[in-house]
Amino acid sequence: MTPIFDWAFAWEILPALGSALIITIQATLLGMALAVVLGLVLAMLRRVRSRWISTPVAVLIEFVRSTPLLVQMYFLFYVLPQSGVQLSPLVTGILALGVHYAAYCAEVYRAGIESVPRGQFEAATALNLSPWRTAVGVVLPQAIPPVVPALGNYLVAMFKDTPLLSAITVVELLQQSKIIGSATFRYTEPLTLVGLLFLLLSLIAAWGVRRLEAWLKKFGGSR
Amino acid sequence: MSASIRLNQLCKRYGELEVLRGIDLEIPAGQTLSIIGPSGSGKSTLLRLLMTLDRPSSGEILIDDESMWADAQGRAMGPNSAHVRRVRGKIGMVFQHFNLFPHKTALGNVMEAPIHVSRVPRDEAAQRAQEYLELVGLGDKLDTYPAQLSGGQKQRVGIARALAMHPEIMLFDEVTSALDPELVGGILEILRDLAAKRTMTMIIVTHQMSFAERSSDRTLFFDQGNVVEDAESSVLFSNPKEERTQQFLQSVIESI
Repeated sequence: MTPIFDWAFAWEILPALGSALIITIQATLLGMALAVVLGLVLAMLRRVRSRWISTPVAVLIEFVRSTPLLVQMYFLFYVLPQSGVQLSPLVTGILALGVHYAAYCAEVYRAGIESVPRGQFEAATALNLSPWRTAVGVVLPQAIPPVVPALGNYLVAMFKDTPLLSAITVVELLQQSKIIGSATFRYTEPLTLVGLLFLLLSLIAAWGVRRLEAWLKKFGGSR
Repeated sequence: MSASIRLNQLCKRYGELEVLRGIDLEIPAGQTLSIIGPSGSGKSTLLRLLMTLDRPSSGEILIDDESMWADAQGRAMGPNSAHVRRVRGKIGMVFQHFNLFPHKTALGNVMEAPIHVSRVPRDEAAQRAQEYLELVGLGDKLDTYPAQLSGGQKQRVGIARALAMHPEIMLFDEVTSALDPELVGGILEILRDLAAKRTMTMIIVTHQMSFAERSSDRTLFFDQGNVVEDAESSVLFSNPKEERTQQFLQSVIESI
C-alpha cells in the first residue's frame, strides 16, 4: 500500500514543477510590469481635460474591471488570431493579466493622485511648471509611495490568478501538476507542492513589497 | 523690472455666490499695494485670478496692457496655452499655507522652476537657489526637507522659491496668517526689504494692519466683492473716508 504522501515521489517531480514555476513567475513579473505602467498611463489619460480622451478611458477601465479575467483570456486567445495578431499562448496570457490588472492599478493610482493636496497643483501652476512636469516632478512622487502597498496586493493577487493561464494551454505550475497527476494517477503530492510553492512565493512577494515601501519612505522624504 | 496691472469690470462667481463684483483697478508698475478687509470679501480670490489659478467669470485682467486670457487678436486662450504661460511667467505667488513640495529639500523647492521652466543649467540653478535661500536667512537649511522646518522657515522657502523666477509681480496671500506670532516679524521684515527695493509690483493681502500702513504705498479696503476704499496707506489708516472702513478698522483695533 502506498502512503498518503510519498516523499520520494514528491522529490522526484519537484524539478518538473520547478520549471513550470519559472513560467508562472515570468507571467507574473511581466504581467505586473505591464499592469503598473499601463495602469499609470490609463490613470493619467483619465485625468486629461478633453472628454474625447477621458471618457473612453473611463469606460475601458470600467469594462475591464467588470468582466471576468478568464473571459478576457479566452477572448484574446481565440479572437485575436482571427484579426491577424498571432501571439504565443504565454504572451497572450501575459497581455490578458497585464491589461486586467492595469484597470485595477489605474483606480489605485487615481486614489493616490486625488490624495495630493490642491495646494500642490496651485504651487506648480504659480511656478509655471508644464502639465508634464507637474505630473512627473510634483504629483506622482507624492501620489505613488502611499499606494505601493495597494499595488503590492495586486501583485500577489495576480500571481494567484496565473493558474487561469492553463485554460489557454500555457503549461504553468497548476497545469504541470495536472499533467503529472494524469500520468501517474497521483494528485496528492503535485497539488500539495503547488499550494506550498504558491504560499512560499506569495510570502516572498509580500516581504519584497514591504521592503520597497520602506525604501520609498526614506527616498521620498516625509511630509 | 516690474509690470503694471489693470482690471476691467472683473467678476468672479462660484455658482450663485458672487465673490468679485466688477472690480476696476489700476496698479502702476513698482507699486506696493496692500489689500485688507473681512474674510470672504474676495481679497484672496482676486489674487487667485491674478495668478491664473482661476478664470474670471467676466471682465478682463491686463498685465502690462496685455490681456491675460486672450491673445492679441482677442481669441480666448486656455490655461496651458503659450500665451497664458508667458503672461503667468511674469507673476509669482507666496501662499498662506506655503504649499512647498514635501518630497524636495529647501534647495530642491527653489531650483525646481528655474531648471524645468527657465531651463537654467542645474549647477547654476543650485548656485542661485542657494543665494535666494541665504537672502531669506536659510543659508544653513539648504538640504532640509519642509517637514523639518518651522512655519516661518517654510514661508521663507516659499518666498525664495517665488523670487527665483524673477517675477515682475509678486502676490502675497496672507503669508503670515498660518504662523506663530513670534515668527511673523521676520517674514514681514523680508517683505519690507523687497518692497523697499521697488524691483517688483507687490500685492499683499494681509491682516497685519500696521504692516499695510507702514510698508505699502497704497491700501485697498475690500468688502463683499467690492473695493470700498482706495487710498494712500497713510491716509486710509489715519483718516478713512468710508463708514464701512472706519467700522472695520475700529473692530480690528478692539480685537487687539
